[in-house]
Amino acid sequence: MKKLFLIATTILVAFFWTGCSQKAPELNTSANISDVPSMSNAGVNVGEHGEMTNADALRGKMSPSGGLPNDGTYNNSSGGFQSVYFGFGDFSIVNDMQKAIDKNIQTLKSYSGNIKIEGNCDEFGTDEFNYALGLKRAKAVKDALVAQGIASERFTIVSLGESAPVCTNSTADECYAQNRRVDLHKQ
Amino acid sequence: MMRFIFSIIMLLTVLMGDSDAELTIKKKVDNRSKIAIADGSTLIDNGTAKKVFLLFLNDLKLSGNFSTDNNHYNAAYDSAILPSELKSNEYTLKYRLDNINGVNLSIILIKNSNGINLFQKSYSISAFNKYPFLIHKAVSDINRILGYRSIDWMNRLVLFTRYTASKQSEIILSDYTFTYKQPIIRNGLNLFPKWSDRSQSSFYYTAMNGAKPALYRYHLNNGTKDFITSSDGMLVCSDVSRDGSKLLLTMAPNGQPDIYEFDAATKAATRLTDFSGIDVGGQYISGEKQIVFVSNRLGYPNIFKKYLTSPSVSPVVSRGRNNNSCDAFENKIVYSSRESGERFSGNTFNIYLNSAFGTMPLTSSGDNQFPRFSSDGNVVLYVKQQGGKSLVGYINIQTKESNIFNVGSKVQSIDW
Repeated sequence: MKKLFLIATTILVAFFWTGCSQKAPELNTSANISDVPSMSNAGVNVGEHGEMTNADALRGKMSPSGGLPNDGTYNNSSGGFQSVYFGFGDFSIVNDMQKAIDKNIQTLKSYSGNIKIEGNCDEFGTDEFNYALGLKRAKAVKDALVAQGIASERFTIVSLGESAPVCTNSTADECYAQNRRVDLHKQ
Repeated sequence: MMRFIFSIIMLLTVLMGDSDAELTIKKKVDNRSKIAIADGSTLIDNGTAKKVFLLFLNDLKLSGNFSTDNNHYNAAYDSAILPSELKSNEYTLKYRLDNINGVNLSIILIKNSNGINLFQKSYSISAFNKYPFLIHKAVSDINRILGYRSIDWMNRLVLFTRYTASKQSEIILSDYTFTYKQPIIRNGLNLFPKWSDRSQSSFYYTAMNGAKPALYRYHLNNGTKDFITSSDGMLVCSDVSRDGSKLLLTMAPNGQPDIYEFDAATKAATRLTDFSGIDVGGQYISGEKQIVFVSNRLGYPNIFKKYLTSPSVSPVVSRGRNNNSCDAFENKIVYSSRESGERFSGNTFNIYLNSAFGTMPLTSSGDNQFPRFSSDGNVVLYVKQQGGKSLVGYINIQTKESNIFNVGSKVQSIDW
């Protein structure tokens, strides 16, 4: 069934591809700067009005990892730590999530006590799987910090599953993404 | 060329449309017994009287064995004379409920054709708000007396956890219709209740209130609890062997969630799965020689099985990209599967039954999760999430009867 769907889709795509093909416009490379006629009122002034934000547009704010940006815009940790935000169903440290790890390393340079790492999830999926997912996220953050030379014994990791949501009043992805996070707290 | 494109689209539509072809409920010949319900209660208020009648009506319908007269008749309990309008039914169930010294229920099952009392019994319980249990017991007795397949699952106690605030929850005891609800464990984050024995006198649950998640066993009859074990990261009791001696636990001693078999007497744990991703939700099958469980070892949650004594693992379900919850009864498996491509709003999860006869859907729309077999394997309970609240549905696999009840808050986990 899937194979048939792929074949049919390929035929359709090939048809549109060939039907729409045309030569890319060639640039006029003969003109140089001095050839450009002088103009008055050359400034670019774009009028902007009637903006409306919707859930789809909010997805544009997501980081390449599919979570919220890890640049300090969002944070639910305490004691100078930075929460780490994850993509849907993911528990790997990738892309800009390293920024949050680096920020936490900086904080740990001036703190010698123990740290509690709490993994959290959005509400999708069964809660037992979500508790495991939250735990994997917490462990991924711990492992990233240990890899930078922080002693493993200083960390306690725990999963809170979906029991500690930050955002509960919207169905926008940005809301759910606030709950797919790992928080750090001084113990 | 447009005709060519249209033809391909039509072909795809027809071929893809077969995904719901399995959801066919055959209309059967109605060989159910016609029964009327006559209320002989005189000492309870009208609101309670209506609730009691509706519980009788619901129990009889959901059994799948009765065609009910839906009128709320009144008849003197001690009188042998029945209202004439009841006599078009094969049977009349006459009852009387009073709240003197707790609650007392008396029932008489009458064969209308000759007026003979086929069955008569009285029930009592200490607290009035527990009256639903008397009704479920009475209906299951009538069902048994008339020789129908057992519906004793109606007498099971239901345990569920609901979130009350951030990092706060409570474990509640209820009847299967959620008419009776009594909080048992409060304060803090207490999760994943699981009955510890067939008599439902005690249950396991996870307390998340200390340095490590801890498993306790709570005894309903005296309100005491025993510490069982603890684990770093997470700890969930997902199944208990039929004799209560072994538990399947999800534990994460090194931050790595895997499934363990735990001996209740010696407290020794044997690791059953060893995977760097997520393994959770172990359930015994095949005479407790095998388990099924949820794992993301293919990159997404799916249902797998393995022998207790062998490391090899094989997938059970070949359809769906997010099958994140399952339950097992002997060799039957029920699981939830995400149907929608959207990650967020508009998610659809459906419940499927996998047995020797193949795979069939039990639900067809909405967000349906957490399937749980009844103690006899004939009925499947499931949780339907709807607008931040939970409903609990029941599907009688044998009779295809179903009903759904509003819990009134979001269910975290459930067992019965």
